[in-house]
Amino acid sequence: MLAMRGTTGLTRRRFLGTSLLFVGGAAISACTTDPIGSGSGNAKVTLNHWYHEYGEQGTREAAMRYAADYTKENPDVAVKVTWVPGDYKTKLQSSVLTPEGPDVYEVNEVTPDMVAQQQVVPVDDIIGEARGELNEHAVSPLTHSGRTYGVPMIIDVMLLYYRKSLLAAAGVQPPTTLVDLVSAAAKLTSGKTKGIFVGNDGVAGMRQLFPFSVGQSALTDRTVSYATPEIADALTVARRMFTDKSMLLGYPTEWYDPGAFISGAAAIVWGGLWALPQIQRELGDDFGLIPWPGHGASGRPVVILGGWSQVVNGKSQHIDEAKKYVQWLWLRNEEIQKDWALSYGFHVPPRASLAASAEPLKTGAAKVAVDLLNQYGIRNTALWAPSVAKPYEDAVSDIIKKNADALPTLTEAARRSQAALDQLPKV
Amino acid sequence: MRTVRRRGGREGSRVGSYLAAVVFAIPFLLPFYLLLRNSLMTQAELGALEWRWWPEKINLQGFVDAFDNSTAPLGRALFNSTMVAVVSAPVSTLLASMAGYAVARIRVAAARPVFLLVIATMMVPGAATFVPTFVVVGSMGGVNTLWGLIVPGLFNAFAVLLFRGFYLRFPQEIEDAGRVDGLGHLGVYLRLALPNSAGLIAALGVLSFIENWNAFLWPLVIGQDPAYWTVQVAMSTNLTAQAINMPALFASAVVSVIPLAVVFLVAQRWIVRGVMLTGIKG
Amino acid sequence: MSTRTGTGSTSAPVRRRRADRGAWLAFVVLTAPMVVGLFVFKYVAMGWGLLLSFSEARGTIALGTWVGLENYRTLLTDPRFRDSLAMIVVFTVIIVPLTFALALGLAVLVNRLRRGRALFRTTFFLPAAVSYVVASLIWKMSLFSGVPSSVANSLAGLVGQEPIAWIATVDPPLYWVVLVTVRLWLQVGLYMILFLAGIQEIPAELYEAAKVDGAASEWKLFRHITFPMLRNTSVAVVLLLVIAAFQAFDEFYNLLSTGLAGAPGPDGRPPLVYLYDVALVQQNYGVGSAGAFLVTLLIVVVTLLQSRLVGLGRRDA
Repeated sequence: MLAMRGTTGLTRRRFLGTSLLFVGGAAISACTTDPIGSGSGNAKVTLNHWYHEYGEQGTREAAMRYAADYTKENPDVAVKVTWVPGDYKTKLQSSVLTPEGPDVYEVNEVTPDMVAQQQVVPVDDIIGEARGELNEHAVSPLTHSGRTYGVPMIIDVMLLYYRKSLLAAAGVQPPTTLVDLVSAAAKLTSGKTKGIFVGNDGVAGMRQLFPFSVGQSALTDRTVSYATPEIADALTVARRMFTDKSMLLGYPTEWYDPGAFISGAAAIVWGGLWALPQIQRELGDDFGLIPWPGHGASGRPVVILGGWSQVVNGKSQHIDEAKKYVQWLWLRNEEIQKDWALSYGFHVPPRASLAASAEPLKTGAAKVAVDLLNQYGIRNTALWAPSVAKPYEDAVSDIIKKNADALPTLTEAARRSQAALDQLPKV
Repeated sequence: MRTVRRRGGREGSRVGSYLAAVVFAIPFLLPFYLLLRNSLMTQAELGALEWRWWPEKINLQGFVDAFDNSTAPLGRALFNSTMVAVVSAPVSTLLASMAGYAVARIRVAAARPVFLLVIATMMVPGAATFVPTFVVVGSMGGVNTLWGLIVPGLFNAFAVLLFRGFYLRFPQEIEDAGRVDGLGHLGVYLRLALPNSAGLIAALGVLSFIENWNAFLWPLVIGQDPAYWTVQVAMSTNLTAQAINMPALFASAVVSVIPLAVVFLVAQRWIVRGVMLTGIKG
Repeated sequence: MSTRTGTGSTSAPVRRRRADRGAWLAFVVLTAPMVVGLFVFKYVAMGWGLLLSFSEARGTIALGTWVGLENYRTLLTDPRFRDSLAMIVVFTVIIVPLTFALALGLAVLVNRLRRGRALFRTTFFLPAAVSYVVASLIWKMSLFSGVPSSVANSLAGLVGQEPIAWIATVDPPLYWVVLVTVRLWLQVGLYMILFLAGIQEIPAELYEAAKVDGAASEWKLFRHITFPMLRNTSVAVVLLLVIAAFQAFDEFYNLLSTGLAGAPGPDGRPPLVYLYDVALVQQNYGVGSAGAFLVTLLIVVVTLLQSRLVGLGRRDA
């Protein structure tokens, strides 16, 4: 049976011809790239500067403006700003493996592996005396063996927001202990509103808080120290929020977006200072700020510091120029530091003098947040690397969501965390 | 090609079939409706706790934000996605056709080993090769270039498998006739086999188009300038930023799906026909 | 009546030698681009990955310190990795028969339609135009979100059920409903098309003969004619489904991750998600590569097993 199929009008010649045309067009457009950042003009050196995509409007233009200003003052150095959307981490990790990586980029913390692989360089020399007024907790995740590898750009403050009207209606006081928080969450859950929101999976925002909230910490130098009865107890108590169904879960946006709070889906949310402008706009005065409550005899309230820090790639061809640029941006130029931290959302400038003199932080909710930060702000050190943290995070998930027995689960996880910690290079 | 006729089916059973088809179609179409509805709602409506069938007022701000976005201009991203998909589809299909023909019809000892080598790559998850491939491309200077974006994806083992299946069933008489006319192997391929596989080429071309259009991870790490971002990358800017702009997110999702859906509707006839040509069924 | 020439030609030696050289040349020209391309972008990468899996590579992919099977040992002694392997097997066992049955069922259904066949065929196939990222978005935010306004919870509300946090509920594992349905929606269309093509190749005479013999019930026709005639298609479909299922990543990552905050939790963590975290978040490329090859090994074994099963003439599930 001969099955001679007729052509569908797509002759071989035409097919090949159009392919070549497209490939040719592609080649041509590959040659032209839009210049971004300051023009390269007669610059001898071009620095590649990567930012992750900040959510706030106007940040990208600001970043490019700073770069352009720098080139105006230093015509020999052009700065190419790359604004990375979406999965910044993946892109960054892949790129630092190649020679095409950025010269200057930002991170949340500097892990020992990064130091061992020269993905960062020490910057103590450019920090100089300013070291004294940098928030200790902002710098500790960047420091190993006394050497600092990054310059903090902004400090993010994370704490609890609560809806005054909802608490009043339920006759609930802002909680000051974990037990109070649990019962408050239960009382505040009614109708379509849930009492508390810490993340769509029920754990994300709060899991790092428990060790601090009982007055301990997950790591003590190079020893894993989270498998303690107190922490286990805190987790067991907090678990009730999940099992009581007082938790908001599976909301369209995550905990770091104020949407759930503003829409009234949750009465108490774990959130960041960056969301404050929007919350103020939408809810006016109907909210308050409190730290995550402590638990137990040695407990203490917790406010978490986060933030981004600037680092210089150790494999860069222009380390000195890069360091000078970083110094100009984040240590010398006060206008830029204030602008970056405050004009596009609320972050706290890492330098104490600037934070104190910043107008927007002197009043209202922002001042409350900064005071809480100064009083209770804390975070994990740089040794709390992803490989060390992972067993703990998984353990917390099992404890909270699957009713696992807290202390044995933590102990088992601590073993694995310690093994991971021991494998981290000693830098 | 004979169609199966269900003679003897009663009217009732025919109506039953249509009913069943409609019942199944509803959950299949539901996500499209949701996508469209979401793109026309406001952020508040999207975060609301009550179900809405349709927005109160049609809100096009999401589309405006998506296209007006200075960090990730959707228009430019659409162009890039189109370029990538339109170049990749014919080239990768052609390459697969060539290789599929060769291992199917050219009697050399190397045919089977080469075929197996090609197919073996299907079993290795892309994740296993992702980082080393990126470094290979990077060391060749391919980062932030169109060729770096396109070339690694041009080698499709699955398409080779399908082409081989098709060419194995290619009638020997045609090849013999071509030989008698003095054509060598290449000649037979170029003048006889290739034109006659237009159906399969069209089908695989469309599938390749879709796959390239929907690719996310590779364009993310290769494209550094927003000028090189594809639609999927541009869309992700609305998702992991600290403040998620949901209307813009869904608007760009709609924009990312529509061209594909159009290509689909136009070409699905080819796809069906093309599949029937591979001999995969039997 | 066509005769296929065997591998050895029966023509005169002189002609064969000339044909061989021409054949080799043509073979090389036609396969070179694909082979070179796969070599550079797959085999070099695979080889590098393999070497990495035997090295200590943290924060770098330079091959340096040889550690033998250490990375493999690290993985296989990690209960979470073992869990992920078990999990993906369970996932495959669930998704493959479901997709198979649904695709086959829809193909039979669509085939019975006279008019509007193209319309329904398109309807079921159209989801293939949607990427996993977009589909995960819709599933996460509108179909199965935890608030009362999602489709699933609105339906649940109609029967008096409280809103359920589908994705966040691991005990009972309701998040599986979300994961399975999204993949079903995206995949079924393509396999339906494969089955449709197969069905349409079945000669009508077979059915007519069966009806003459008195076997007129639809189910009997399906069992005794349609399904057996679809054997080759079925084998191919199952093979493709299994390979795809083992490599599942996109929907898990997009549905279960918490965005800025982190990767999916320990439940619903297939091997590729686990390895993504190891390689790109923890920057441990040695262990990450080792894991990738373990997964590859698993896929190869399962595929071989399956071919063996089929080769013995057994019917597919």
